Amino acid sequence: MKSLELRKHAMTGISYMIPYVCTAGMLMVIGNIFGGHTITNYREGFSIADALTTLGGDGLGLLPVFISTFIAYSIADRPGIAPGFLLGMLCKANGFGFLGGLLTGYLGGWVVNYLKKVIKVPSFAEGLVPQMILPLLATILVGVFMEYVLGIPIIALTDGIAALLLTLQGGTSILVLGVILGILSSIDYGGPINKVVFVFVLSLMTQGIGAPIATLISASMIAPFGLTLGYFLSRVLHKEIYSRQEVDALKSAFLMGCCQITEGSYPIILNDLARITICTGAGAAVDGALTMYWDCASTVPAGGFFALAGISHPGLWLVSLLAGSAVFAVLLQFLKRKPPEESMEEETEMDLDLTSLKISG
Amino acid sequence: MKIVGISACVAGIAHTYIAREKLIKAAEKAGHEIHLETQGTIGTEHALTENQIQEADVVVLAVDIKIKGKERFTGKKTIEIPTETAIHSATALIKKMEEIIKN
Repeated sequence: MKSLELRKHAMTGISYMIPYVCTAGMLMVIGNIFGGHTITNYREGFSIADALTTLGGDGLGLLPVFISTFIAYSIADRPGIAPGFLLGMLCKANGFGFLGGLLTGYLGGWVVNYLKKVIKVPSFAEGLVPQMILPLLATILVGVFMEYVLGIPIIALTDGIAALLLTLQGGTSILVLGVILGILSSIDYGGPINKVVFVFVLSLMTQGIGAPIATLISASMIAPFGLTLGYFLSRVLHKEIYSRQEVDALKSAFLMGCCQITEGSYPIILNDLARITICTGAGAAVDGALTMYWDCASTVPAGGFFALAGISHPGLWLVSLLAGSAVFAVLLQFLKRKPPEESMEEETEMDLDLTSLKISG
Repeated sequence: MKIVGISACVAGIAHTYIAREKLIKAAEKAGHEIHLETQGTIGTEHALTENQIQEADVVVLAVDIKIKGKERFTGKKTIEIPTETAIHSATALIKKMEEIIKN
């Protein structure tokens, strides 16, 4: 049997979703800054700020639909889009949320693919198969299954997690949760682990639990900020641990970091992946624990400093970020060594990971 | 050896392009001809021509997501890896491709 490629399809959905989340999130932030309120009656007149806030909020509310559509598309191509979309709407209506959207995406896509193989019709009716039969049958089958079978544990699970987080709030165990969230969000610099955490905390956010996503935003910024703070600290201490290329790279790393894009830090991180990642983990652990403890909750799923407008206790959130970056920066002084100039030419390579290699043809 | 391929990552703004650079550097160092298409969030860039694909001995797909136009490589020897592998071990990957072609 062909492997299910669960991760690849989720990642494809997320790759389509990132610009959507950023746009909807920023619409809401800009609207909120200018005092926008959610519009309830369009006939009564509204300001541009109201329109931005509402559009952004509605957009984020449709995330289950979006992810379901594009996972189904990734699995089943065009015939997957219609059932993915409709099943996502079913999830939104029932409160199955983002988690439900992920599942209907997979199920819708797989059922369409299965039906593609088993449905045989006379040649004059072939055109009907992708147009109507596949999407309609897939939507009905998966829809009924979601509504009466899978939906029940999903509701129980999401309610359970929400209740658990609420009881943890204010206690010491929330610190542990914050440490774990912080570390997992940060240590692969926007890679697959970070994306899995993102899916999880985003689904919490759509249920109105905003602290975990605020933690992820903050933890994602630890590496660029820690590196920047670490550079200034090294200058104060008269330690030379940055090469000239690294200082150049740091400028764009910092700027991109302000927008929660970690990728700008790669040129520096990749010079010394293991040691810098220890700093990242430690910094993000402190940062995560603090943001969770102070319950800095966000209504905006991404955007770095731009998300500040949607974060409750923005001051404490900034303090957490600073504290985490400071831990990173101090550790860095002990761990980081100056790479030789022009180190880009002869870098040491990791061994080829053959488990990930797929050969065909 | 002539290589063609595609790189595409999840965010579509960084890994895609780093993987392309690393693979090109490693391949050219080993004396191979390489053409790589990127499918980032901005869309397809450095698109492969039919000619390039036809002449290629091997196809390398450094992809984390579903890509467009995979059918262009039907019948070609194809190696698929995550972008991360291409970034961390480009040279070893090229060597592996040489071995595969020889067999």
